[in-house]
Amino acid sequence: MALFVSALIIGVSLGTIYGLMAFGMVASYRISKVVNLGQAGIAAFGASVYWWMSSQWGAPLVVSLFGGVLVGGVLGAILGYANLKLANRAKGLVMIFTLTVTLLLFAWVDLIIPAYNITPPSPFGQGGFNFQLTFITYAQIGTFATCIAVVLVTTWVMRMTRFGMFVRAIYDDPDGASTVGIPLGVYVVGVWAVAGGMAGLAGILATSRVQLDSILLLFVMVWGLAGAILGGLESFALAFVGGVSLGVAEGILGGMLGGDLGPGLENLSAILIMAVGVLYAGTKRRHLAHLQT
Amino acid sequence: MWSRYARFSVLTAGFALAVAACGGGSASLSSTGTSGGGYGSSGGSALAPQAPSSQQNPGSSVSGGSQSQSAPAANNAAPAPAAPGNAAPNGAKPAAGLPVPPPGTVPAPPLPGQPHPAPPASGANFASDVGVTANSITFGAINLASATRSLGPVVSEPTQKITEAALTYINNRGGINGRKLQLLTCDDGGDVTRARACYEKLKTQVFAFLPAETFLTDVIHPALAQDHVPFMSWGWFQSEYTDPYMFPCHANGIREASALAKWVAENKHPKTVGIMYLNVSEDIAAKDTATKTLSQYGIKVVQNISMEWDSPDESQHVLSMRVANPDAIFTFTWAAPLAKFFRDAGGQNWSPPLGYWSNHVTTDPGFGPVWGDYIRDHDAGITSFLIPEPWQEPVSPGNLLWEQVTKQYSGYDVAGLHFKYAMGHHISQAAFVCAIALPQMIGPLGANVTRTAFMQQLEAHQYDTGMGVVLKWPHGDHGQYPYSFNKEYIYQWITSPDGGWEEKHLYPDPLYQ
Amino acid sequence: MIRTDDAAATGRTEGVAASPPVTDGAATAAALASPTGALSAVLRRMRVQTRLVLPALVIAGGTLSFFLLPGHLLYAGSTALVAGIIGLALFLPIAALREMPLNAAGLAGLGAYLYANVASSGGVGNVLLGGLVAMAAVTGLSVVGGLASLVVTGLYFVVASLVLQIGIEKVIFSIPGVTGGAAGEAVPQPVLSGWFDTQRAIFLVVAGFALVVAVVVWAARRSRFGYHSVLVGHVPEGASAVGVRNWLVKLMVFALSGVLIGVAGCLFSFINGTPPGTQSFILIISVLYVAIPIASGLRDLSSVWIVAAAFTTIPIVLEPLRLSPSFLAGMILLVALIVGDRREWVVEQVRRLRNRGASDDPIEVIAEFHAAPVPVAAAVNGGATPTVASGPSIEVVGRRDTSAGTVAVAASAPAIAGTSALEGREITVDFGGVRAVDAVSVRVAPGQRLGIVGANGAGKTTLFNALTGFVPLHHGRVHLGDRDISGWSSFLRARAGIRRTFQIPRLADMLSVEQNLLVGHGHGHGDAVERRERVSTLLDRFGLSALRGVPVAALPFGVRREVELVRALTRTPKVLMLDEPVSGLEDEEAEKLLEVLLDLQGKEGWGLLVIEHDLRFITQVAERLMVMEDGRLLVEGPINDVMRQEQVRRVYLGELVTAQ
Repeated sequence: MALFVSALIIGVSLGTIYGLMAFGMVASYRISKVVNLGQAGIAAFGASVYWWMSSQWGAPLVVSLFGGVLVGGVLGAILGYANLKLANRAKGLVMIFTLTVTLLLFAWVDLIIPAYNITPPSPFGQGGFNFQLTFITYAQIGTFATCIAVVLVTTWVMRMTRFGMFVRAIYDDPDGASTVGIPLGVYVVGVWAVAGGMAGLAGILATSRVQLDSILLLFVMVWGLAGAILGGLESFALAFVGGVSLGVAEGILGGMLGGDLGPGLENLSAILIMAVGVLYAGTKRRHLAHLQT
Repeated sequence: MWSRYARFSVLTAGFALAVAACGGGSASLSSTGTSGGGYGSSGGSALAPQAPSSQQNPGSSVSGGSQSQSAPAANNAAPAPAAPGNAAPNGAKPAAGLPVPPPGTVPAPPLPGQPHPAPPASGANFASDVGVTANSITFGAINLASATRSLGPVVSEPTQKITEAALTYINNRGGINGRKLQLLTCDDGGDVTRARACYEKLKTQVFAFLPAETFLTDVIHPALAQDHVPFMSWGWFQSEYTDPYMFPCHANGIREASALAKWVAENKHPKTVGIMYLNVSEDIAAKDTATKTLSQYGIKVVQNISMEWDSPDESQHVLSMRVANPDAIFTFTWAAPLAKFFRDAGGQNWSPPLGYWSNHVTTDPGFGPVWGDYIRDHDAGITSFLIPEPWQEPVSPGNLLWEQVTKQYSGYDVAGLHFKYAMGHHISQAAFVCAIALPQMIGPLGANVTRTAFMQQLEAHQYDTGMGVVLKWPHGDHGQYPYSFNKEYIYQWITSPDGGWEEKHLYPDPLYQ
Repeated sequence: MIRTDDAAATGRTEGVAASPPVTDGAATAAALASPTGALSAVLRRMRVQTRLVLPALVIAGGTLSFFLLPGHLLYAGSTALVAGIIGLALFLPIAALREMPLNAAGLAGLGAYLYANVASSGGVGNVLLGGLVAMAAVTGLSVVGGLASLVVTGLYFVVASLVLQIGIEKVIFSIPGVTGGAAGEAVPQPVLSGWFDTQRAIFLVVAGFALVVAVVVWAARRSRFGYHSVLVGHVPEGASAVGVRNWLVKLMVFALSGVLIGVAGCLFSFINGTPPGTQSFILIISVLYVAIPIASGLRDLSSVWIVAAAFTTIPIVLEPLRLSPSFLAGMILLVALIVGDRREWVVEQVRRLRNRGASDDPIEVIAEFHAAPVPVAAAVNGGATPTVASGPSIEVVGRRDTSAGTVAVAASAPAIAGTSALEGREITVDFGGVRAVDAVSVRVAPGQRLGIVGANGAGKTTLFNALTGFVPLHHGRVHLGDRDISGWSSFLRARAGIRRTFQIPRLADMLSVEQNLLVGHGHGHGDAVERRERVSTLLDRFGLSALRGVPVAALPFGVRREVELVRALTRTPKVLMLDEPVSGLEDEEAEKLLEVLLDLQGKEGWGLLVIEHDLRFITQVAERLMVMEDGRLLVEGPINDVMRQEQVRRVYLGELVTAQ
């Protein structure tokens, strides 16, 4: 039991990283129906700004965190504006455009980060405590709490505020929303800016665990995307649940079975679970059908 | 309007990046020779390092008159490192007994159908083969300098810089028989396709390839057989040892695993072990080899962990190992996931009682901060060459030279890292020892430097690196027992007197059998 | 906006009222006086069509590469061709099925290793066997991956395809027996020296394969299979309605894609002399492979080759700059996207150059055909009140002529045989506890015309869907003649002769009117000539001939509705089911449609089942009328009797009838 609980905790911790990366994608999808692969690039860039401010300039962690999120928000806004200009293009093509942005930001990050295996300090500090067979760090708790906070806040905003109602209206029918006076451009750029800020936050919190390596962040984003799709790509809460599900699958399989599965099988087992989830969720939510390539 | 501006901005930024990257990297063609002065001209000073010892084949001599006086090969009296309780490295004896392969058993000349130019009657230098002129010999190196942070700048750049420094050192001592050495590099970005294009580009320009990090070395064998190009390699892949055209300058991970497992079994006596390995064919094979060796000692492998180079987290594997609770853990994996494992295990304040025993990935002086505090007193790694440890024992002559050449021609800082003793890591050592030994390898050929003769020379002789390794590539099987890295070295990470990271040489040195 | 090259590619010249080229001698002389003028004259004289410019450039580039490039760039060229083959392999699932498989790299790697394992034994036999084994395995796995598209689609399919990639990458590639172990396997290559050296020979071989692949994909796109796959990907219900086996078409697309990726895998081993390491076949490479066709714009095959060439050769050419691979990939993608987006500008320049000094020719007319924003309805209605088109606008190109072809239809179309009646017995359909249709029985015999009316939500369309197999029955049976077809899927019912239209037309927007109609004819019935004759006759009969080459996306709603109706008739039905056929049509259009419809029905003898709110239309078309309310059948009988019932008049027809 202790083993299972420990593996579960590890899996949840891992899943929060995926969930973090998924939030921004859900936000931009909710307004534009675009799968925003620019999140990984913005995450890497936000994290590098955070690292630069905290480790090179000696700025307080909170200030650095704000800086990273702010830069992420600005990048998100720029990307949102570009997306607005590309509104009449196929969504698949816009998705590839966002991938382009990620690749270029990766190149930029590679230029400004002077060494490898950098692990930026967690804004939640060092240390932690033993629990069962594992060690829970304050960073893990802080990251998890952040995810919960994001879920609660975004759910409240989307359901209870006029802003959220407008966002949902734009999602359902942008032209219709325009005709009733909703400022489409402001909302699209605004939500993408929020998505960028979430990506920056995700980058900062994730790299304190997975290291500041751009390609690694790309893989984290892919898993985050998978989790978000599992959750339907429309709900922050379900995206988080989707990401955590993947993390838990990986954590339990890796922690409890380890190498007994053989090379790669641990990974495959987790992804098979994902496959079952996708097949199930995909048949239930067919409205996420077309990429409109 | 904005979109045009945005595109222009992006393109401008791209151009700026291109310029920055261009300025940051080295030019493709590195002219490493100087016309005088420099380190070579002060070779007689007290700072002048000892050149690596050369076990020359009797009868072979460095032609070129005065040129040979300044070539490293002339300084062949430097002793091999003498570790306490350990005699000179195996194979340090003269290679007179080694059979020279009969003509016809070595690879055919390059570019079939194109006869080599006849040597001039005067015996003067001439364009004797591809990449060779009367005044120069051009070498090639394919690396992954532009790959992501964890590969290119940190791993490849030091290797390229120390190779260039070594050639400059040679050139400043007159080159090889009057010919200056040049290096043409080609960046593959970590992509095998680009690497192959690099090879196709360089094969008609260079005489031979020098060691550098590229994944090409596992898949280029058929091309080498067609083109008859000598390729001194970084030794990452086992297949490099079976290619008659390839001359590895570093131990292969599979043999490392065998030697390390044997050493731990005999000296640490664990009853149970766990193994962590990267999910690639080389490291899977290393795991299997270690398992087989350990079983001969009755040691049980209680946990195998397959790692992925792109894993975001290793906590689950720490848990898995904790539950298996082995006496010791072997690691045959990649730096990124292992660093994460160490960090998570450190966070949990857990380690196996007999510690971690790693392949060469962890044993690079100067990389301590990258691994973090946990590695100290917990991990020991096996590596091909002696590393400088002046506080502990006399620095080997090869390492002394490595450090001096670094200081003279390059500096310790690369890619934001400050290397503690010399520039780089185990592969940069491999590149350095094979580059610095070129005068011994080519000098005896005189004016008629050909690829075939070069390969014959390499197979017929052995070369003491001064770092505890005598390079040899026996004809027919370059990994033939006992091969160059039959003996390796184990270093334990410890806390240095100043509170930093240091490595301590563990004895006895492991032997591959 | 319609692309000009698309216009040419889809054969829009047919049926267009085009003026023959008129050559003005003075203008030509003036044009020839300048270099561009001379070039344009040459282009014109050679009758170079705009759509051929890109393919010609690609072929010329490949040919020049063969003769001029040094070894390492020839190698890069070979790699580009292999990447292009993978790009083409992904073109069909992405462009036609609108599914984005993220497993091309894994599949290609598997092909490379399997081929090498067998071919390394040497000999022509083993090389061929290796190729077959690799292609069979990759095709099989591609089809297995494609199975997911039968269950999920869109983003879910992307993730499902990810599973296959990770499975191959993390598990299969871990097996030394597959990858050949650490050393890999050497495969036979030509060993040549001199000018025609190994790299040149390899390039030639790969180019040969690339040419074959290009022709295969080109032909596939223009085949009925290609049209079907577009229809399946864009409007699956529409595909089923015309008798297309959606699942089969999907799997065939993935099979074809797998074959091509298998070829690419073999070529990877061939050009390298051994398969590249597994790091060449990881997920991020799959993502970049997907980016190749998407960045090329998904419009023509030539662009795929160009983007693939950029991806593979630019990093090699720019190698001395030591640029970050991420930067290079990002910039190449960005440029491809920008150029792809502005591609029509390039084509337009070529077209203008070609037409300098000459007056309108058919191509020019077609270009203008797309350019001017004149409402379509005005064009097709012969000057009737313009209707605002929902899609791109097109210019007047011809007038509908509904008088043509009347006899031809009667002559060419066989009268319906048999006495098969469509009969639904006690049809009941539930949606999550809500009973949409409740025990409704309906019967349409050959030659009969039955109308269905009812308020919105009465269950009319659901009844249609139940009869045609688009929703499952909770209770009841459906018979066609003596056969119980309750368990038949929708495409089988369509093939059996139950043809239908939808409230919102389900047409393949990427295809032209004529291509949609050819698709509608379905599989295996009649020869090609007969099919084309039938389609041509129907186009004439409904006055759509002038639009036969126009992409459906460019048509206004009303015309799309007519095209869909015609599509349902491309194979003579037993029962034709029309769901609000005149919604969105002007009165005059509706009357003409009614006239043609009744004429055809009378001659061909099929049954007709119509849902319509337009009472004037329904009273003219139907002999019998069903009235539905809340999923139940309220009344059914001869139309005049039903219309006379007070309850019906009051509740459902109300003031409309009173007004009339």
